[in-house]
Amino acid sequence: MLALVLFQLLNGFVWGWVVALIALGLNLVYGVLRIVNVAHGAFYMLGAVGAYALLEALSGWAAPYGVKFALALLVVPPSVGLLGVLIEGALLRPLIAKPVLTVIATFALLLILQQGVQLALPGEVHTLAKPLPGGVPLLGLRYPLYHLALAGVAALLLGLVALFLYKTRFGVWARAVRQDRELALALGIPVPRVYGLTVGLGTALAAAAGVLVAPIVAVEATMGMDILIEAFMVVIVGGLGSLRGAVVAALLLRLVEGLLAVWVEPVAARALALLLMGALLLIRPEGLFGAPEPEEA
Amino acid sequence: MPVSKPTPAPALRPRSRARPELLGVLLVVGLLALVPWALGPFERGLLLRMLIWGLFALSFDVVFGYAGLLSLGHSVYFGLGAYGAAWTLLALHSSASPGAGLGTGMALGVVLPLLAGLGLGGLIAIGLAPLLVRTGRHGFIIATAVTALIAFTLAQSRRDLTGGDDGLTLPPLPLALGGWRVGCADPGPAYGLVLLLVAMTVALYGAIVRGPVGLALRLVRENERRAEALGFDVLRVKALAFALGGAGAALAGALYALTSCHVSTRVFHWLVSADALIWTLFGGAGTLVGPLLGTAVFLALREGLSGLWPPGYPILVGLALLLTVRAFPEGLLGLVLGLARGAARWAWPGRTGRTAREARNGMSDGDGTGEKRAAGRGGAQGVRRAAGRRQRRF
Repeated sequence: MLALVLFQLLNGFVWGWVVALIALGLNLVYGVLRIVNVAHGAFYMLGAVGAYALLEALSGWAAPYGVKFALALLVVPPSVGLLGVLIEGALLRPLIAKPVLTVIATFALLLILQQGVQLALPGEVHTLAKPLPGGVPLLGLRYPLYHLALAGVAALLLGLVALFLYKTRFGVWARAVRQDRELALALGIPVPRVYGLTVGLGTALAAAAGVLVAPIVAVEATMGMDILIEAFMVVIVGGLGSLRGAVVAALLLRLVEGLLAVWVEPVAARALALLLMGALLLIRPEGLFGAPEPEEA
Repeated sequence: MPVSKPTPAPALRPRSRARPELLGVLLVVGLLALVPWALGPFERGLLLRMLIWGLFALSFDVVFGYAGLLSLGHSVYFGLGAYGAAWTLLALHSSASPGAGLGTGMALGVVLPLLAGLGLGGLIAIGLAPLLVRTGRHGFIIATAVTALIAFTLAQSRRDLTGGDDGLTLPPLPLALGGWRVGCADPGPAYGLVLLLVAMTVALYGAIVRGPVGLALRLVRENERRAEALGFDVLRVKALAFALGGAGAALAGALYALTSCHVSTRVFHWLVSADALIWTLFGGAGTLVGPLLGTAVFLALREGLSGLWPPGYPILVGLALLLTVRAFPEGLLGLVLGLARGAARWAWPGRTGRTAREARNGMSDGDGTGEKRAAGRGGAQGVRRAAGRRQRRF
């Protein structure tokens, strides 16, 4: 029993970091550009599909699988991020003054990307081998080693993003634009460039989450659909625009879900966890860390 | 397209245009009532779906186009309406003795499920509306998407009630017209019922959005602060729009369940709300005819493409959306009206009329009064010019 509880909590913890990565990108883009990016789930999917395609293409190469996977983790997210930058410039920039139209444009993008992948990757379900086989003994059960490594890499990436936002010049710019766009412009900050880089960073984070989970989920074109709304939930529970809130809410949601899954079916656990989060929102409509735009976070 | 002279008070405009409009509406309803009887069951079914989903899109437009609230949770009320009607129909079906005549069964068996669906979806929309509208412009999009996820997951977790992905199979409606009974393959007399109810709901929505309530909705859409300064309770206006839209969606859902013999948890998914968004936007948001038109066009396209190239539909939808957003934000209706106006201006150069509908058509949000004026003047081009002006501020 205890082992099962621990197992589920660990699962929740691992997935919590993945959702946090996705939600962080979503929240970053929202905070800086004031755009609700519906296509965000598609970039997560592109990350997983990109890793799958790259590893398939490299299957003739004799290097160890772990090395090839690490290569995918290094190559795929920046490529998807570059795509994000291009899309921001070509598609979102002209619409940025009209939030509703950006939602629609990103939704259109979601449809096109998803269906394009569906066409390019026929067949039902694709799976990848885990780069780190083996497991850790855990009270009589064995917990997969790769899951733990995944959580570690995700946490590391989040830490790097925090460093980037708080210790670099670009980070200062991004935070300034998010606080007051007009003032930032008046101070000489290249706002359009900040927009582009922010979208690039956000989509790269989603793609990184996609690469990381590719070995433990079924890789398919529609995999970004439901996790997108979950990331929405996390963003709003954590507080719109609050980066710390997104991470905390993601971990909270997935830990509660994991714990509930000990006693009820997984789908019911999901539903209950989401309902609890909804109840939390009724108590605090502005979210956990959603105080009226604090100077940081 | 008749062009009327400009008048100083646009508020007086709708009355003077009422007669040709009424004629057009009667003509369309008459055609929709008469033509299907000459068609085969498949085409009749397609028309039926256009009507039901058109009603759904229109109910979405009341929230989105008129009140400016983008709700991705509109499917929740459609789904509740569908399941409310389905459960009632199943309960009535199992309790009715097989030998009972169609007489009383017809009245009860049709009216009760409809009322149950409308009641379930409508009441929950009324209950959730005040909570959801508090979340602000961006928060609302996300919060409503979350309600769709919660409803979908809840429905999935109670397979015993909802049937999960497989759904529930329903008996056909106990409705007959001179021996012609409703079947699963051919809606038959159910088409008449749906047409009647949809036409009545559209008329009701029309009366609401053209009256003072509609003005209040548009005021809130265009400028919340001004609405507040004028003494409107903005949150209450928004909640009213949300509840009105939710009730219409519930009715559409009930009609859907009762005429398609099958309902699954898919109806709760947020992609169903997104469908309504696509159809509404493509047809023309903030108008009564636009959503119906957009739905009809897209359902026909889907039907046509499913035979030729099935995967093409979503890509086509995506491209059509991008094109709509970039080139003609007023939708198909706005485009057609704009072309007609251009033609009229070319034919009678002296009379340049700017109608109330033209001013109403443009979709924008926030404080875009500048865009608004430009959009009224030159249609899509004006919008693009205004967008360019805005952009230069960065």
